[in-house]
Amino acid sequence: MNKIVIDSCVYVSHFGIDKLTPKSKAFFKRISQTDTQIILPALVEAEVLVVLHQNGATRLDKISQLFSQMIFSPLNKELIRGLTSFIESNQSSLKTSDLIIALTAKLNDAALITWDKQLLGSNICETASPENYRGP
Amino acid sequence: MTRTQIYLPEEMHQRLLFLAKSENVSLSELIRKGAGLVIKTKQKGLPPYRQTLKMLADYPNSLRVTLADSATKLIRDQRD
Repeated sequence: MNKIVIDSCVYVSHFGIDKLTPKSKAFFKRISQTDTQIILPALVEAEVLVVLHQNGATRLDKISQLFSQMIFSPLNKELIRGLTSFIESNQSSLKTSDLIIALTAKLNDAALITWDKQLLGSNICETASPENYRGP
Repeated sequence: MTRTQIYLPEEMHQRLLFLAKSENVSLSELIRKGAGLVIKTKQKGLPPYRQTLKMLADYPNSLRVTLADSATKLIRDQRD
């Protein structure tokens, strides 16, 4: 089974409307036909809810309900231990939030799906944009 | 809602008309109810992760909000 971590910007463009919405929708449509397991970092859930709320979304309960059925990856001591050991032996210019999300993908052997060029350019884990992701 | 045209066998049509009348709903309403049941039944057979993917893919347009900027920029602003 494919395992993926989806970055906040992909969810936000899917649950909202921007120029990437058609491509984000096509991505979710495509993976709905496959054996794909989504891992949801705590930080991603928080960012998506906050940004959608700031943009006028009122039915956050619907989104929370969808998120509640994914594999939740908490921001806990275990992740911080993984983060510590990673930064001690690797150089990375990523910001803390980006690093936590990329590391969540790495620790779960998952691909990170994002529209963000900074994360697409990082080499911490396998990355792909929604339109380029074709599974392992 | 989307308007669509379907062909029904005569007998099925008659039975549906009878049911709609006895339940005091329109024929369209009854057919929509039936279609909803088919979708639910199909989804029940899927493993939970597939159900989640299906629900994500079917997220309704009516709940989508127009974003003030691109999603990528909005999230980048949260992180920078």
